[in-house]
Amino acid sequence: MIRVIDSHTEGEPTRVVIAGGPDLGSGPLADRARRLNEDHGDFCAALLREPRGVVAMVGALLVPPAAPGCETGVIYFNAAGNLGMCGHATIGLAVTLAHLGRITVGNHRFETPVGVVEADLVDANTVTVVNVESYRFRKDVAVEVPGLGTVTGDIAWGGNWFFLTGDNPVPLTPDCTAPLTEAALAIRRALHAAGMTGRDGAPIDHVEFNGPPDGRDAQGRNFVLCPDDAYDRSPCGTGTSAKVACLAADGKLAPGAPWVQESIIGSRYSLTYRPGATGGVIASITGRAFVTAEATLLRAPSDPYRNGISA
Amino acid sequence: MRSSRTIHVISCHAEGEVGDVIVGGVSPPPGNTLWDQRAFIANDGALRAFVLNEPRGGVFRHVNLLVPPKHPEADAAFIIMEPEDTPPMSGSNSICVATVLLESGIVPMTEPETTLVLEAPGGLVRVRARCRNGKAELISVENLPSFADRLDVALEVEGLGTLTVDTAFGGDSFVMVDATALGLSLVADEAADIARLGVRITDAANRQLGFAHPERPDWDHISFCAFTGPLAATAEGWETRSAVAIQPGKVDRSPTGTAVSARMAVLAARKQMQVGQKLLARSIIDSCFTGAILGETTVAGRPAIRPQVSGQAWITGIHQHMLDPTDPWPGGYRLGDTWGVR
Repeated sequence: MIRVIDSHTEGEPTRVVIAGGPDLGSGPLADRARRLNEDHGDFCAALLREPRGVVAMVGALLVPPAAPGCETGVIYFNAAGNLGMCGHATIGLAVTLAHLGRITVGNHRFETPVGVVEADLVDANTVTVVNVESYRFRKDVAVEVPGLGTVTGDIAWGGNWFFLTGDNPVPLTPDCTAPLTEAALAIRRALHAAGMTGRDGAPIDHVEFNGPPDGRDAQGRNFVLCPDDAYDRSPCGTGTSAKVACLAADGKLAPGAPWVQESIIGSRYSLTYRPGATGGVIASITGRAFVTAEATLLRAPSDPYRNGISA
Repeated sequence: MRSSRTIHVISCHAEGEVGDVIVGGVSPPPGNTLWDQRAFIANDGALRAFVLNEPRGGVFRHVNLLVPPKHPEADAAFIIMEPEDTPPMSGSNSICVATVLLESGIVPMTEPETTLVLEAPGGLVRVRARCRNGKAELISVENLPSFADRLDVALEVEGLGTLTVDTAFGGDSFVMVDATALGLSLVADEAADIARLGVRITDAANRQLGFAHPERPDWDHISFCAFTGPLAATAEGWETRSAVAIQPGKVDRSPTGTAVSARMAVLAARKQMQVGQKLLARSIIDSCFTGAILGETTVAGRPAIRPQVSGQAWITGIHQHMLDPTDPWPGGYRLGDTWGVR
C-alpha cells in the first residue's frame, strides 16, 4: 500500500509519497535517485500513469536527507523519469508537509539530488522556494525546425535544462495548447538532432515559449513542455528561474525586482533574484499550492495494469 | 488540514478503463427516480466538475456516485459521470461499481458466486460475480435491453466521403462504422486518429441520423462512435476487435460494454448471432470483455436482445478528495489539448 497526498500548485499536480515507497538505501541523494530510476521504474510508472495517475503529475518520494539541517530529502519524478529539481512540486511538498502538521510557517530546507533548496512557508498555501543557482549557458542559438523554420532561443539551466524562445508559432492562450505542444516537440527533436545540449552534453528536455502577459501587473507569460510531453499548468518554477537568469544576463532585470510570470492557464508565480556565487542567479519563486486528496494506492498482483498503461 | 469538501472515493479500473466510485461524502441528489437524479447531476454540473476535471480528474476518468436505490429489488444504485455525458448505463463502470461494492464489503460477498441487482439510471441490471479469496474475479452484467436502430444507412462525413453505418442502443447510443473500410486495425498507435475521427463521425451522425430512445425520449442523441473490427468465428460465436471514441475525444481503454451489447444487437438483427452465442471483444490495449446474448425481448414493440457483458476490474486506491477553501479552482479546469479535439 502506497500512501500519497495529492495537491496542485497553481494548477500543476503533485503526488507526495509519504509511505510505501521503495527502500533506496542510504548515501548521496543523486545515487538514490539513480537507483529509483534504474530499479523502481515500475513504481514511478504505477503512480503517475493511467489508471492511478493524471496527466502532467509529478511524483515526490520522501527519503531521509543526507545533508545536515534538512527537513527531508525528496526525489522528484515524472512519467519520463527523474527530475533534478521541480519548483511546483517543492511548493506542493511544503504545503503537504504543513497539511500533515510536520512543518509550520517559516523557513525549511529540502535536499534534492541536485542540491539543497530552501522553502519559506508563508501561510497554509503560499510558499517561497529558493532555487539552485540558475544561469544562461548559450545565447541566441538558432535551430532549424521542420515546419517552423529557424527558431532562435537561449539555452539555460534553472534546475532543469531549458531552451527558451520568443519565436512562438501561435499565441500563448489556453485554446492553443495542442499546436504549442506539437511545436515544442518539434523544437526538442530538432535540438537533439542538431546535437545541441546543456553543459557537459546534458540533454535539453524542456522547451519554453515566452510571450507578453495577459494581466497588466504581470511581466511575462510562458508555455513549458516537460520531458513527459505534458505541458506545465503552472508557470514552471525552474523554467521561470531560467528565464530570470537570461533577463539578468541581458541586464533587463535588476536583483530584487519582481518578475510575475503567468502560466498558459493564467496562474502565477512571482520571482525575484539575487546574484549567485558563480555568475548566475539565485531565484526565489513564490506560488500557492492546495491539497486535493489523501489517498492509498493499491497495486493488486493480478492487475494487468499494476504498473500503469504504457500505451 | 482544512477542507470544505471531503469526498470518499475507491478508485478502480475495468480492463484498463477507469471507473472510480464515490462511496461517501456526497448527499443523494434530488429526484424521485434514478433518471431524475441523473438529470440533476448532469444539469447542476458541480460534482461532475469537481471530480472529473483537472487537477483531480482528467479526460480518461469516469466517476460513479453511489445513491440509495429507488427500486425495491435493487441492492445498490449508481449514477455514472463520463467526461461529456451522464449516461443511462455503462458496462465498464457497472463492472467497477460491482467490484467496489463487493471488495469493500458494502454489499456482502458470497463465494464462489454472488448475485446482486444494481439500479442504473437506465434501469435494473443483474450482476453475477465469480468470487474467490475476497476478490471478484469475473463480473457478468446483464445490460439494458439492446436494439439495432438503423442498419446500413449512408452517412456523409466531410473528408471521408459516404460511409455505410449502423446505429444501435446498447445501454447507450452508438453509431457503428467498419474499421477496415477506414483503413484502421484498431491498435494502440491509432488512438489519436480514432479519437478525432470518432468525434467527427458522431457529430455527423447526430446531424444526419439522430437517435431517440423509444422509452426515454430525453435520451435523444448518439453518444459514441464504435469502430468495429472484422469478425472471426469461434466455437461459441465470434471474436473481434473494437474501439470506441468517447466525447470529447478519447478512446475507451476497455472494449466498452455498451458497444459490445450494441454490436450483438446489430448482429442479431442481421441473423448473424443467436441466443446463447458469445462475442469476445478486444480493446485498443488488448483487454477483453465477453458478450453473450441471454435472450430476446422487445423495447416499445421493437425486437431487442438481453445482452450480458463479462469482464474483470481491479481496485487501484482509496482517496479522500478535498477542497481547500482558498483553492482558486474549486471546479477544476479543462484545456483543449486533452479535453477534446473539436
